[in-house]
Amino acid sequence: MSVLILSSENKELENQIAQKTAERLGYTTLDQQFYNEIAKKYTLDSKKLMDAMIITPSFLKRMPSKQWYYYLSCVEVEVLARLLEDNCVCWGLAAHLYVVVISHVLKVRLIGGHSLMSPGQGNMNEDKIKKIIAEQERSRENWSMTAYNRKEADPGLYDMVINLDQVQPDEAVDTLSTTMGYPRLKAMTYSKNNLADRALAARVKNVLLKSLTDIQVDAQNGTVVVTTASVKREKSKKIDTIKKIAAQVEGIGYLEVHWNKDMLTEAAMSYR
Amino acid sequence: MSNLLEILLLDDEAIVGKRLKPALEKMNCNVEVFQDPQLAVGRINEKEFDIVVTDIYMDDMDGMQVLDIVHEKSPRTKVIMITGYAMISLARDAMEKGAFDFIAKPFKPDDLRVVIAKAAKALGSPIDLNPLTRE
Repeated sequence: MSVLILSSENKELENQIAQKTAERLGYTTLDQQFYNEIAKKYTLDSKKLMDAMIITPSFLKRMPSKQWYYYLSCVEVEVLARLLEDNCVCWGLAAHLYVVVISHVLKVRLIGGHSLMSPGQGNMNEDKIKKIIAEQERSRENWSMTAYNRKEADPGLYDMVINLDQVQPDEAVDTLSTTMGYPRLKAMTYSKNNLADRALAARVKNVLLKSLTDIQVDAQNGTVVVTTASVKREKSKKIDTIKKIAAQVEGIGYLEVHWNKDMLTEAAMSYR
Repeated sequence: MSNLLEILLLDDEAIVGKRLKPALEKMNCNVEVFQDPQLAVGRINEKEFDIVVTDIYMDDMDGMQVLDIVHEKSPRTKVIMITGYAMISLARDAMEKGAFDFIAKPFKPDDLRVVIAKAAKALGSPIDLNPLTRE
């Protein structure tokens, strides 16, 4: 079981390279078509789900913060579950932001290549293209920071960055296919357990986000740690609710809830 | 290879060998436990083991060196790395060097038994895990 995750601003080339690499390696693919399946499973509006992967929470855009985090969480749960199953090439699902530190996952950022885009965009002059790309990058950075506190374009997030202004798409496919064959990317007990822990944490977070906010979840060796915050007088109630809801999730070895005081709300209440 | 799986277990913490030896012996394995890497390497030079389970961070010699020595002596031997300091780079390096598997401590004896069973299968001597899981 090995996984290749691609990320790029150039969706057209990303799609082309991902498909060809998956075909070459005989891997399954996981891309934005998966949103429909997720929307169906969780009875969500698929258009809104796709919007949530692009826009940040906004009252004006009718995407409240609570709903936004829940939508993201549904995607995370389903993508992680799928990555646990098989050799896979995954793109367009923001997996590079929540699948971290898994040794059998190769994460690759594709940059540039805008001159290779389809002829429809060929009428635009270079300055205009640069301006659009810069705007897209700003928007994506804003989204990824709000969602996962990570800058999508940060090279440190990836194992490899391929510049499509310098490397042809077919050469990129060759490079990726060869790299995926390296023994260092083979799945092992450690990496599979790490991925399973991430999937478990995502499932717990998902059930909690249905009714609660301000939830962080980590898991290690089946031990789940939920971190939350509330005003002091609601501490016991919130901890009990978390324990009760999280208990529905299969696979938890031990559950711990870490509570922090919500200073802001506390201060606002005492001021009143 | 005889029916009895020959395993060398190397960890500088005595408790690891003490806990794992009986768990593996229940799987039709003959287990030799070492805390000193030099002594373990001496034994590896004398005898061809089917599986070597080694800790990575030890005082005199690290598990990566043990892995190299084992593969030089016996390429068919499966080497399983265990460590309390698991990191993605270390895990990838171990696999690149030809480790069969990499496990982060702490782990349950059953976790290691599953990996040993996988290694036994890869060696052409499958082990039945079911009687153990019913214990």
